[in-house]
Amino acid sequence: MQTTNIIEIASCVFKYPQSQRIILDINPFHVRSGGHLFLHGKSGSGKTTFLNILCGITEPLKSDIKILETNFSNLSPSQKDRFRADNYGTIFQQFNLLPYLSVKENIALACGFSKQKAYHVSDMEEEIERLMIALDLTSTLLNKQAMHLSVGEQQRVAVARALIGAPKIIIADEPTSALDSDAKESFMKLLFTQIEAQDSTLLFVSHDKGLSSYFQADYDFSQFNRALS
Amino acid sequence: MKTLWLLTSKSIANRRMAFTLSIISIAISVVLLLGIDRVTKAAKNHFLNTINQTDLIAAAPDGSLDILLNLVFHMGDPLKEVDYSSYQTISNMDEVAWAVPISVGDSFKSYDAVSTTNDYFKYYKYASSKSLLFSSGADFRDFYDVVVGSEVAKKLHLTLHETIHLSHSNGASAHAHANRDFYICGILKPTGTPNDTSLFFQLKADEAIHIEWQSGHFVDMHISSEQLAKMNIQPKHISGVLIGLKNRSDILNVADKLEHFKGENLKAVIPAKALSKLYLLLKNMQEILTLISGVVFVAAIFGMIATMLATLGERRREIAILRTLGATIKSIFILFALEAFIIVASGILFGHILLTLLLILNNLVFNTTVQISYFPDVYELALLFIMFISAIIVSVLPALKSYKNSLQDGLMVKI
Repeated sequence: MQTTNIIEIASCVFKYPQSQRIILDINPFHVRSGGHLFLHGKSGSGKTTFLNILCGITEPLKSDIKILETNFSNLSPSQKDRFRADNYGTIFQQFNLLPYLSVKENIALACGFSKQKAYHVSDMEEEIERLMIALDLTSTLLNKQAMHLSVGEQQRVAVARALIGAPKIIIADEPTSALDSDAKESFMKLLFTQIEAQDSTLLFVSHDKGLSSYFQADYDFSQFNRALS
Repeated sequence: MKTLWLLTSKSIANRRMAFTLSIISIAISVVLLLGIDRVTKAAKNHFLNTINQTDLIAAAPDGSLDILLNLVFHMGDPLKEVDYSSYQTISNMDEVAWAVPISVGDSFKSYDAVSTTNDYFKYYKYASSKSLLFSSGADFRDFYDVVVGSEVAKKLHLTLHETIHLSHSNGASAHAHANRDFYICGILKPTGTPNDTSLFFQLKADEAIHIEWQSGHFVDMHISSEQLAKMNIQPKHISGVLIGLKNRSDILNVADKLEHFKGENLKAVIPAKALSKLYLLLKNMQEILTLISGVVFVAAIFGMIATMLATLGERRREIAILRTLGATIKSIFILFALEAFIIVASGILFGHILLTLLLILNNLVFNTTVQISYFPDVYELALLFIMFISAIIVSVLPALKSYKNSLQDGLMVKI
């Protein structure tokens, strides 16, 4: 298992439909299972577009991408939607949660769109409670609407939702930038503990180089992207 | 699907103000659309049943609408008179079950005074088979008795046994039969027919009080009312005759006989036919009302779409989150369609409940004589179905817009 490639990119080119300029031209690379990847780069370097392509929400001009030994580039848009639902957990900078759902409903929502994730969770209540405790969230928050939570709490609930159903890939896009430094540190620790525990692979994108200490290796996105050089 | 239901219901609860307003506007348009249809249909039905079980109306030759207006609605240009003997001949015809003589032309304070016999109250039927009933008093007993229609009694505050003076002719040229006291012997119950706005007195009294009128001028002959009543003056002229046949299949046969009447030219009108002809005049009105309510409905649907589109901005983030979690374009579509479905379905439901309540209230408060149905007929159900489907189809608009947004936005909405 250790040697499997989780993500294998041979090529990935993107430009906006109306424009001539190539925004993304990714150098070939791969991510091994458990080989958490830290990508940093300035804003506007195409990080977010790249993540959108990996999630199957944005269509590249041309690409040859294999994810979890599936030829991702050949999937239809709705197959990509299903693939994303089953295999990804995602955390963003902020606004991760549906404000009108309770914490519990927000976390369970990930399983609502994926039978595979739902299958991995034998007892929803128990699993949510376990994740809450693991992420240092008090259980009194369970039935609170997400809009009444602090930003730090929201980010941790987002982690719980990303983790539930044990998806193979966790994508985090600047998840700490709304947090202060203390919260940032405990957030990163909690994130890593849980990801290691369920054997997922983390794809972490940030402009904050300081976070690279949590990873074995970090990559400058501008070197990844030939279109920038 | 369970997830989509949860999302829809919670998302709606989160936007309940706009949502409730959308439902209310749909409900109001449903009340209008169905209400107008319901009321016009009831009115049409009631109108067409202004007079029932009278198979023929005989009068001097004139347009069938003129005859109907005169003898049933007690309005319009006066008809030529018919000889009283014609009435007697008609009532003796083998095919005729009953015949009621009617004379119109006099009035009481702008209400029509109709002279007839007690047979009128016996044989006049409306709303299929309803008879004229008395809320107080009874039909004619004495020579100078008057029966008053419900609205006349109500508007003029007339009570039983009150004395009134009828007027010769009507409108501006009316002159009071000031020397002849009439006594109210009965007040009719409301019927929703022209009887409500009419007064009735005896044909023989009508003839008697007019002996003092020659060529349109009053000539005082100094006869007391008691004497006049005892003079046993026979009616000479009437306006027309209401006829009921023993066998309805004889209608055309008898009509033909009347039109080739010995001694006098008559015209026979089938009231049901004349009424539907008259109704055609009112039909445009109904169509315009229906059109207006249709426009109101279209406005309500666009209002709903506008509200949905307006909330789309704040829902972009919500949609992006759902897309990230793996929601397909189809699910986003269903999400919007589901919301439109709930709005339209509850709008229609509440509209209908509201309409029924209004109709019940109307019946309780106004005690109307017109029977309005509480239930939709096939036409209305079809109308509701079309409303429903069109609303669902139009709801594709916000769904499309949100799809385009989500393609642009990707995973992160930068607001």
